[in-house]
Amino acid sequence: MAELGDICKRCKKKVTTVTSRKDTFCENCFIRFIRGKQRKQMQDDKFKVKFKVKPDHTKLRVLLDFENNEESYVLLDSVISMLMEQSNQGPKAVLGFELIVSVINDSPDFQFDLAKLKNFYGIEELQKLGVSFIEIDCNSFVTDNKFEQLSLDIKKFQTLKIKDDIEDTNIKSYSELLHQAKDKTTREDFSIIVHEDITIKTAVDNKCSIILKSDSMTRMAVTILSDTIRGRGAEIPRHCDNKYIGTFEMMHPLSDILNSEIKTYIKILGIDKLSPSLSVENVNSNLSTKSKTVNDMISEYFQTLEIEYPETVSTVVKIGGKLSNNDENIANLHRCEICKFPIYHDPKQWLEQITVLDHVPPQNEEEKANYQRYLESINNDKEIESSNQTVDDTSVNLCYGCMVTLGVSEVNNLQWPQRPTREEILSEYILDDDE
Amino acid sequence: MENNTRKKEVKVGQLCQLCHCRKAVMKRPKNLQKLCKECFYHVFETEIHLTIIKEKLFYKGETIAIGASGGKDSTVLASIMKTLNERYNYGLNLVLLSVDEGIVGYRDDSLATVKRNQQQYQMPLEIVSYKDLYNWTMDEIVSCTGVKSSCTYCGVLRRQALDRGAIKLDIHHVVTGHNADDMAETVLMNLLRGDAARIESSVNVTTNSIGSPVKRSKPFKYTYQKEIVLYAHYKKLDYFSTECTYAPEAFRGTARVLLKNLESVRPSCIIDIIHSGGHFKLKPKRIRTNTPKKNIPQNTNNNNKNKHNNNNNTDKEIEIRPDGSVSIVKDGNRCERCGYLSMNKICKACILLQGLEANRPKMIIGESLTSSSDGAAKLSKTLEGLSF
Repeated sequence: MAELGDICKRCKKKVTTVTSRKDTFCENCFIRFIRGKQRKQMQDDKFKVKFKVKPDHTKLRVLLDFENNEESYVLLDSVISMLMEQSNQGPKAVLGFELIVSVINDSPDFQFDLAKLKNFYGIEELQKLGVSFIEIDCNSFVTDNKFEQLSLDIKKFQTLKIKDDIEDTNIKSYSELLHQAKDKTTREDFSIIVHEDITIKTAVDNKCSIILKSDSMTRMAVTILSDTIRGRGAEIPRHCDNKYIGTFEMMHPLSDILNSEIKTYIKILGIDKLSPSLSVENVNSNLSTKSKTVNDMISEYFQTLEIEYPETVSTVVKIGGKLSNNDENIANLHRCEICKFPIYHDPKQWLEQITVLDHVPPQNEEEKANYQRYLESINNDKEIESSNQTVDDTSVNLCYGCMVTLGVSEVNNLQWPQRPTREEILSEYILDDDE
Repeated sequence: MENNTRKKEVKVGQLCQLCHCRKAVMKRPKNLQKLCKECFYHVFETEIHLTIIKEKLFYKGETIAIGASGGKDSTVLASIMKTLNERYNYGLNLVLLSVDEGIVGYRDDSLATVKRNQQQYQMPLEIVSYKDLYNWTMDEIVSCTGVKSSCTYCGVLRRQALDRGAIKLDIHHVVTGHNADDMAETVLMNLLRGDAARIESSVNVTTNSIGSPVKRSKPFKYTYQKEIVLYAHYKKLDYFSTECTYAPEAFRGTARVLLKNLESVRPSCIIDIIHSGGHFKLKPKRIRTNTPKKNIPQNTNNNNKNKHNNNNNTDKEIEIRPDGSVSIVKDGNRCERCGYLSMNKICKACILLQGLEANRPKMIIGESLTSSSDGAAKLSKTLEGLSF
């Protein structure tokens, strides 16, 4: 195996300083190697530079879902370099696509400096390359949507819609929406659902037909395990393929790049100066197990495996890619009221089959007396409950993942935005011939 | 005086959340419900009964071998199978079947527990040993190959040993004490190892290969390990609680630690993983189309003949795997050496044993590698007994 300090076997000029995948690289060749991986995922003709375009040619519009993390900065840098290469191919070269970068401010420690980012690449250069930025305030998601009140009875595995359109909702901000759950993983779950909704809506509003997700191979592996652990195994194929939602395409250009490679890329190009969040080392390792989310734990798990079992990440992503949720009857399936994904099997039925809720009746006078005291104590509660319930309460469908997530966080009452499904959002996205 | 003797009244908040009439003594790991002992026994036993009924695991008059290691899972399994068989009149003949892997200081002690169980539950007991079946003990295998791969050898050999023991007794159904935690761990392991062949069947209650004379079932599929321990504790069952000296296998150990950490923040994760495992479905395999050869005659009859021949050829197609094993595609094939059910020409156990035989020392220094050699288990037990 080549050692660091040898002459790079790719360019045969510079000295190798980077080790990755049991190979050594000089810095330039490493950057080229990573960008090559991204280019491979975006090698379709639709992204390529054009030299002869018809007058009525509509340029492909691509939305980059920028999450202010390391992967997002690497993806943005790599795609910008791709556009630069295209623009350098002569005066007749027409760029293959327009890039719209959507920055969703959905994290409490979100520190994003757009001006700094634009200056890094040059404002004029970005304009020339057709790169534009949209900053989205998550609170608008809360203020723009009507809310419904859901009531979860975890003992009966049942969810009721108490109110359809709450006018006097006490949820005024994105943070308040998430903090209905006391559990960190549940909040993370909510934020993933909201983020995806906003991204798709932004893509629709900006007439983009492709969304670039910044998930690296490591993050995809984390998501696959995380979905499995949260009872969302049926959703795994959604994260592994370049998925179509209607005519929309979700792509993962960094799906062949490891997290350690992302870090090296950032360090080499000095991108870490652009945001304080990039220079912060992993603070999660200092947290106690109970303060971590499921995703935090899995990320740490992969980090520990990286030394002895480095191939695990790619193995997980490969097997995830082999899974399918192709249900021919998908159009007729019920959708989850919260995440809006299809419900493949009725979770209520499954849970009832595996959990017995019968009891052993009172056997003696003391037990009968105890039971009597219990009945008296709940009498008042029942009266309050029945006065709160209205005849209009309707049972709604929740998928297993959402039902368990709410149960874990002991969320009995949830105020949740009334949103259309992804397909319903897209149904509005019909391009006329003139467009 | 009367006041002192009167039992203290249980607060309503302390009552069992199912019956509301007895004091709750435990928090159920599965759904964190506070339960009294009686309700816990009831839900624990009924859930296993429902799994048995839903999956139609047994038929009346069937003889069932209970894989008994003397550990908590198999001891609870033996106890509960006896209870349910009597309560719901399954009409089963229950037999204990143990495998002696030859781990001195571990298995010999646990087998003593199984022998006591035999008396307690009044069931016949059959013990099959690796030494008799393969002429190797686990202690010898570990001294030859090292601890790291011990679980690989032991898993493959034990599976065969249980089947062979069952066949010896003319029993065609073995139940094992694999619990929900084991199932969840298997789902994770299949993902981490990228095991496409097993991923769809990770959480099946019953495994029965075509042509296999022995069916295997896991009635504890939905039963948490912690609940099994609680049940054994409250019922005061006699079980052996020491973990195998050669376990846990390094990689599986990492998954086990992850699972335990996850359980501390999300107790439902065990059952959630099983739910996910039940939804794993592989994409349909791409069908390879064979390009027709140029010299195929045009005659229709001949074409039909050729078609038939081609099919035969596909049936006989042999895939040579990177590890040198040979696939003969169809399920239900037999190993050429030992006759055991195998997907390959030679079964995994025979391949492993062949490797072991090749490495068996021809000369022995002292007595360290005699057939009765004691492994790490005996050594650690001896060390535990030392005092200064």
